[in-house]
Amino acid sequence: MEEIFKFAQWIVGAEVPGKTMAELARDDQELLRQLSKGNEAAFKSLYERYQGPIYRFALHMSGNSATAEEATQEVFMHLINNARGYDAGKGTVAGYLFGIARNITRRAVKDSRCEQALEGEEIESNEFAMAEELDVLGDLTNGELLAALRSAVLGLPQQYREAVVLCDLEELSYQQAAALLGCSPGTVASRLHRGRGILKKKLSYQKCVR
Amino acid sequence: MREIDPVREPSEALLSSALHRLATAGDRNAPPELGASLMERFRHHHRRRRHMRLAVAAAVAGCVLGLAAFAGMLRPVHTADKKTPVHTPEEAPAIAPAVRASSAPGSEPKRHWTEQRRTITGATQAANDEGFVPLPSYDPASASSDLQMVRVEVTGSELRMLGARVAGDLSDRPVMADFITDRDGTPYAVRLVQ
Repeated sequence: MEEIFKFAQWIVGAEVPGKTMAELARDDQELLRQLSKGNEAAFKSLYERYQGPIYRFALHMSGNSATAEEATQEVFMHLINNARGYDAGKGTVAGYLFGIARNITRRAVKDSRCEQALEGEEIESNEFAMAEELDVLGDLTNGELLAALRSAVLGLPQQYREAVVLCDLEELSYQQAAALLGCSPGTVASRLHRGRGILKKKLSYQKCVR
Repeated sequence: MREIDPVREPSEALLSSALHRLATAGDRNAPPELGASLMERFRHHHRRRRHMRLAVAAAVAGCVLGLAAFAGMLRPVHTADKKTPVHTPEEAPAIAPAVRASSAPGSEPKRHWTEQRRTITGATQAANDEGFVPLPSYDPASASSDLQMVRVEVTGSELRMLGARVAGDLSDRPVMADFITDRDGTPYAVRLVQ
């Protein structure tokens, strides 16, 4: 139950405290219905509810505030132009919006760099053997090390990065992340584990991890 | 999420702590200008949609009115066709006699007009007293109270197309006629001036 409240608060901030996921989903659907009729207040509510999570997700996924802004804008432009495109039978409004944000971010990242993920894949192949030896993490208090961590997150393969961003940076549970990513909680857990292993490996190369 | 024991898994705990710090370090929300811009686009989009809907509704209404007017123009022709045996040029009363007859008590046009008097407006009542003959396009149920009188030169055949009974010898002759019309131009009654 605590997780449900946390998820609701993650999405709505502090404005609608105490709403369960089911209530939130129904509320979102009603807002979307009103939005499609031209209700400005409904659009404002949905925007205020989702702009932060979508912006942060895109920012962590791309490492670029311009891309994050563009993704946020595209998601809401899609809502404006095609509010009836949402099918309640296929998932929640949150999942729908994150799906759009994921696609836009993927495209933007793909366009902006030549698959740094390949580097991550190489590390992944022997990550477990080495991760066992990396028992001590160095002090990550200064900005330099945070920058290294940010860079390491950006270097993760797409699917691991999504798991790390949602579960570690946005602090969602496996179930909540799975709902947004459209996969099983077990898959999220597995991706997160591998993603964290790659992160530690990358940081160890940069002397962040001893 | 599984709990991490900082004693047994110090690197995991430190990584989590660092990731948490990274999460809170950057921007938490999209810039406010983006929200304002999207709100403006939303307004613009729905304003345009409203205009489109109005335009479509107006176009549909125009088509319906046009069809109604067209049907109204056709109806007298059919009526005239049906009544042709009765109103041959030799037998049918010409419009001028009809106008004259309208002032005669008990005549057929007068009766017809009188039956509709319950619903027609003061303007049309006054018009009836002045010798107007109602046309088939006159519908007491839908006639508005905002009527106008226009004087035009028409031929007898044009009058016949509107449903007026016209003597055959008037077919090609231009005549001056007063029409009582609705604001949209639908003719309700006619009288010959000359």
